[in-house]
Amino acid sequence: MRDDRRTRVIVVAFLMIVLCGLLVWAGTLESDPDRNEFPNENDFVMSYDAYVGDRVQVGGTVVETDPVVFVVTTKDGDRMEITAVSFEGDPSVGDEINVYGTLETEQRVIVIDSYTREPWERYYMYAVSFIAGLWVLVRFVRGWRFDRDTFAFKPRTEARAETEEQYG
Amino acid sequence: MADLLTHALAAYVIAVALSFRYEWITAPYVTVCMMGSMIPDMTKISLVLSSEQIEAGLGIPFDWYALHTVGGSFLSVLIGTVLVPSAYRKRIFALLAIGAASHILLDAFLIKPSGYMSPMLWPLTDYRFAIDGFYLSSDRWPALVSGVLAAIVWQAKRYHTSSLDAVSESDSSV
Repeated sequence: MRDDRRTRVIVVAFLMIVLCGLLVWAGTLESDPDRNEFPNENDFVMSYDAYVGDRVQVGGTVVETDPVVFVVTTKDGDRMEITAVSFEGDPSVGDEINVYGTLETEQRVIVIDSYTREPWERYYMYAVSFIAGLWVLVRFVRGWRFDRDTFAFKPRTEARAETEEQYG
Repeated sequence: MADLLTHALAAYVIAVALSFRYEWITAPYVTVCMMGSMIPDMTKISLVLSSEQIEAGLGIPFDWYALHTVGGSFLSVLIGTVLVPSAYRKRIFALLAIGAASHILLDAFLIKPSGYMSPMLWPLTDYRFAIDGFYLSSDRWPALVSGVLAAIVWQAKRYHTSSLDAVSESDSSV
């Protein structure tokens, strides 16, 4: 590939279009238990009866603890309260649980396996992820510069760049 | 996803370890590997603009999750590779790909209640393989373990560089 600005912009634009195509393709995929892809709240909340007896994977926030009841919210904003039958563990109200199990009538799930996450754990995850992002961004800005003439990133150390020319 | 800190530290460990064998892997290249390890989590754009909002807005199917797969990550790595001059391209491709692969490998071991990993090998296959996970993305110990490993390779690299050439000790930071 040539190193001029025009070629680079065209190739990047082409790759972006292909990537967008991939994202659209991914959007067409349906859940399929044969591939171990189980229906979730987005599938069963609106047509509950059709999924009774099926294995589902569903996550939500605990609103009652005895028995464990959690509320799920679909991507369209619909909500449903579901009772987690034979839930192992001792979640508190407000905890986030993720459940794999069999969907039963009367908005119940017979739990096969699950995990529980306290609210602060999610904040921890976002906080350290943000710190990591900043760390890498600072390293990148310090180590690389953007060359407007060629629309390319180059290491800041020119001596290093020359070595690249020789051995790259 | 495991948390991004774990991913960045893991990529750091891999890149610095490789730098013992490949001397050209200096600090800026270590950074590239760390950036590669963040590529699959670009799928978290969905926290700001969800796939459903895009589907509703454009009227077409859409899923950010594709970024968190082999296919989406590969295309993203290619884009990153094109954004450097040709002299650097092989190296950048290799480091971005190693970083992204380390992310997908680490995420394959996330605990899923169903016992099946996410379909990260898509579009090669969308089959979800049975894998017993070891951690949740909100667990603390993966970042701790990778942090300790990072400190070890960092020290080892400093020692290695200074023993090679005491004069260049100031350059030893990776």
